Amino acid sequence: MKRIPNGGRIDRSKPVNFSFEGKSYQGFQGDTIASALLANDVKLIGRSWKYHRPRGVVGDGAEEPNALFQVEQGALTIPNVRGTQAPIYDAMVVNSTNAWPSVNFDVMSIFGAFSRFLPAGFYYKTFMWPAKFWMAYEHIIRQASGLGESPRESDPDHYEKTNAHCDVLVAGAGPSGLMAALSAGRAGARVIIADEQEELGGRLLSSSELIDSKPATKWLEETLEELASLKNVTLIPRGTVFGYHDANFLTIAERLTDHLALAQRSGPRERLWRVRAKQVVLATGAHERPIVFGNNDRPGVMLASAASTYTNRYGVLLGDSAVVFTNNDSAYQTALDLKASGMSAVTLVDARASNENLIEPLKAVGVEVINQCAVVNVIGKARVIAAEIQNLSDDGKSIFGAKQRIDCDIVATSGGWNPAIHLYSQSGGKALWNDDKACFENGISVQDQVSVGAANASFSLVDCLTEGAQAGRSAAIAAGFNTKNTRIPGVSCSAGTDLTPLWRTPTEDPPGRGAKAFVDQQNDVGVSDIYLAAREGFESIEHVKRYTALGFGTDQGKMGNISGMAILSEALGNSISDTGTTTFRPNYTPVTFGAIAGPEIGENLSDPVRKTAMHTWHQENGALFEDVGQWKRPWYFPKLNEDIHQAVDRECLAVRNSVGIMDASTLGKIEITGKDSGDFLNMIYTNAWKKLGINTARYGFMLGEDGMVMDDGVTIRLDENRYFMHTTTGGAASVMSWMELWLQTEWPELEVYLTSVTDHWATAAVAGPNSRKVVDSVIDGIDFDKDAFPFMASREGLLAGLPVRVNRISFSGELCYEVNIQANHGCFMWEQLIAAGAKYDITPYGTEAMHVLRAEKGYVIVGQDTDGSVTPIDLGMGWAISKTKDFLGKRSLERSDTARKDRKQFVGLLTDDPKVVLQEGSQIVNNASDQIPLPMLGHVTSSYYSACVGRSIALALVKNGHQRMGDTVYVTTPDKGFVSAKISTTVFLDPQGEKQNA
Amino acid sequence: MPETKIISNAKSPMVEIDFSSIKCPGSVLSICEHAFLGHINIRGSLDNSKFAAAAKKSLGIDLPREANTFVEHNAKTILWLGPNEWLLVCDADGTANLVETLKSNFEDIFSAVTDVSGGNTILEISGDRARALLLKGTPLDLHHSVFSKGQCAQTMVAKTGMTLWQVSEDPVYKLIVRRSFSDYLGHWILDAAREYHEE
Repeated sequence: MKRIPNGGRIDRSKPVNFSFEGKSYQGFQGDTIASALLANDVKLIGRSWKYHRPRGVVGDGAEEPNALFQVEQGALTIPNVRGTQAPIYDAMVVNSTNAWPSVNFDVMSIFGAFSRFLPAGFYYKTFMWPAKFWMAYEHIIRQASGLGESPRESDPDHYEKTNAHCDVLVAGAGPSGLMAALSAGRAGARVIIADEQEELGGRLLSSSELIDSKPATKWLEETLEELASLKNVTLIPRGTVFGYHDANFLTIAERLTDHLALAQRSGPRERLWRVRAKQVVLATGAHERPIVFGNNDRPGVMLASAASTYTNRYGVLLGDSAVVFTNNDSAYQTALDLKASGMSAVTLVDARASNENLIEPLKAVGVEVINQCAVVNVIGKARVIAAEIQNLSDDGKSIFGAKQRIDCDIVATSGGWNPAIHLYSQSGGKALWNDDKACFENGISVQDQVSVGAANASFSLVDCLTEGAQAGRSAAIAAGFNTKNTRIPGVSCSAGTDLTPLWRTPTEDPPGRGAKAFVDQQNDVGVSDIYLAAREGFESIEHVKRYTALGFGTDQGKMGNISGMAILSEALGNSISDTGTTTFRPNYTPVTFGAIAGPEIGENLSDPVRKTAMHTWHQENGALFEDVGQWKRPWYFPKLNEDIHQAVDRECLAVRNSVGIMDASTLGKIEITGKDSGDFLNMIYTNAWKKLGINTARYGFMLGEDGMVMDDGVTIRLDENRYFMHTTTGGAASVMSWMELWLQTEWPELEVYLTSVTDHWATAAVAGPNSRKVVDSVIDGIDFDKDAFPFMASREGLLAGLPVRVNRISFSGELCYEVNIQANHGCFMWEQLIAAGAKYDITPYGTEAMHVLRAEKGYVIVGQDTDGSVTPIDLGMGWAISKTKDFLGKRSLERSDTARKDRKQFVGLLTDDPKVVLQEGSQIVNNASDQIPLPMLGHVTSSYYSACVGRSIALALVKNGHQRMGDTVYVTTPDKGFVSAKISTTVFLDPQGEKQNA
Repeated sequence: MPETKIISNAKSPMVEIDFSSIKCPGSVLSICEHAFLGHINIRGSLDNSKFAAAAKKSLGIDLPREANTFVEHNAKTILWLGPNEWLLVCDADGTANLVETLKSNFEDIFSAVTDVSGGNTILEISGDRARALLLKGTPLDLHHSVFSKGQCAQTMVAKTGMTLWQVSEDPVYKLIVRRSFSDYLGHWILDAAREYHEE
């Protein structure tokens, strides 16, 4: 093992065994996959997606482009796990995501040899033609590239969601975030602080600096203790703030079990936090960026900060010798860290002129410093063997002199720092280019938000601590708390932050020749690809991104994007500020579908399931259910081996010949109260209501302002100023909103109150010639004589002493009583009616039989026979429209198009072959043998086999249909071509209504 | 807490939900259904002094005027639902009489009194995890500094609506859900409580 004997955040007393690519390795508790592999001297960890070049670990955090792994197998497998952040656990199974058959022997690496012929846009250009072959090409291309594999089994894990509110949300728990949480928390504000890493602390976890004369990790420990002791502070480690939305609504994905060995896991895997924060402090730090040079993707080339992290935090000995290549001060610490780890030779190559103050401490420990030079190339394929350096001109635009070779195991590089402004940008803010610091930083805040520390381009530790403390205090004050200043801890002299921009080492050859130099390693985008895009006329960074794939993928260009933009501006001769950035969108890092879906999956929870009071009875009696909106309604009640046709025929015949019972509880029910209720109904419905007698009912149409049928139903006048409205099952909520809209916005002067009573009443429709006998035998206090209780009347009575309201209304055309009872007694009422009906073989029937029964009578179902383009006149129900009063939609009925006589009209259809049941939705034409395209006359809206009529029946909307009774038309079928049918009345049974009036 | 799901001729809306399957001590989480209570929806305007007086005469206490608050009086809970809407929760037995009393006292006053007892059911949720459980499904801030004893609100829980009120600071919450959505909510709660089992 390549380890430093002591130090770091790993627990050397707790070895952890894991496998990578089928081979066993050992790391320690506290290691990530990346640190454990590096400690095992595994530098080659994957292949690039396009050229299949060998790749190694580059970063130490979310910016990592290469170290993506497939973790575990089967249902638990997770693709594209960032090895720089994922901890190892016992028996963890890790595989490379993009190598076949193995990382060391990858057949696809042949692509690398042809890289010159696979430039940006290669796939677009080559596989564009012929277009129909793209499907085949795509399959092979996706196989060859691809990043990880999703599991094929369903996810066995459980996911949770929670809402949370706070005064101050702090994103990031590095030095500035911790100070912000501390000062806001001490003030008493409700604080949530979340950090994506395994441990809170950010850069302090790998820092060798002193805070208050103590090691930074000691200060961290004390600070976390204090925060944990504050009841008003919530700490969320392993929690990535991944989305920043409007109104300071932010989302956090908290990983609860991924760090545990499989056997130790229990409870939910992840929790999605939906946070509404009064104030937000973004302390998201910064990502180091590399300097781009030839073969800069060889395993062993990494960011300087990552080299320090693996050395200091994970105790990894990265090799025996190193070259550190920088254009700024921060990498000097890396050279010191690497030397202190025990390397025999460390060389620092600085693109800038020499600075005695910086060099002195390095020389003191034996680090060689070379100024005004640049790394031009890396020797070695599967791992770094040496770096080649050359002199750099004063302006940084050319190299000269002889190449000098320095043997080394790693090349650590720093091109400066990019503040992690992702969340700021998501909040709606605009990134601004800072020329002095050579980075994009946050501009003005557009929400109640402030960025601090490295996220605010303030890179020194003392600035981070100071800005954090101030932001926490300001946020607490803004949230209404009084607070004093928080003391800023003392810091040992911080490293400098000076920088001279250098995005890439200049080359003697034009880009495209010589060694490949990578800007975006995850997408294999090189300097040459960006130059090619510029040469081919792409100027917008958004276009170049899409042409080259710069910044796509799971890392979203966290490491390469800014360098790519700078190199594009160089190719275009623009300023970086003019070139600008691409858009930073949620999610900051990939979020599992499980976390987003949460527990709201499966039959019970994906959407509310609404049940009636009789639901348990239906279940116990074998009902199959149909979804009507969110309701579960009995569809039919099959007996023994009946299929749907047999069951529905039996149910229909029972209703026509004896008695059936249907659960009608789902219909919308609204009580309308107040002295203006009649006037209100007059406006809502097309027909007149004021003369309706008490305890009598009337059918009504509700139109939209466009004159089209919106809903229908029966309304009963309960007393002088009180009505009881029925709506369709699906229309209940929208009708209620519609009526409230008019009452509250247009007619506030009307004294009308609406109250939904849909759930209060359970309703059984008892229908059939024997229905009177059934209800009469269980309900007291009502004279059921046909004249005393006529059709369209309503009565109150008692069932076993419980109040019921019985409405003699019918949707089947049969003698029918709808019995309503307080819903807690719904099942009881149902059972009483079933028992009373036993001697008539009372038959429960479902929605399918209901559909057939009403179709036999030509009754419309709004939403099935109508589609928002149908007026009552089209339906042949002009009788329901009052000529003497105003109502909603009236004026639209007079529009020329609405009033014309040859609109599509509601008719019956009888197939010439009575056995043929048309398919609903089928198109209707005049003559099947006419030339295509045939003019469409309309379509079939409802179609059934009717056992009662003894043949198939259908309802349809047909152009000018009301004038075409008896005409033959042709209807498409899926398998028999056209079939002929005759247009008929919509009433197929009992045209005089003798049955319902019986 | 013992629950009554079925009485001689009535079934509770959550008859299929068994909250005793939540295996954790009551101090952690306790949930029970209070079915078979009276629920009366009252509409009217407190700007109309006749209405206010008639309400007080009927109920023995003023209707709460402050938004999102409730009052308790003589085993009745009266929740503010809107500027002209209240919900009164009472024992089942007295419901019919109370409806009649209200209606007759409100005669000739613009108002509405509607018995909605069959359409609602009530859940009582208490224990250390009560707040966390509710927060899984509601966007309402339940922190004691924002929502406390005496307050009520109409909001969402999971994908259904609820009327929530806080009975005591322990905290003990009660919530009303519509009958047809109650079975769904019951399943949602059983799922949400899974992580507190054996806690």
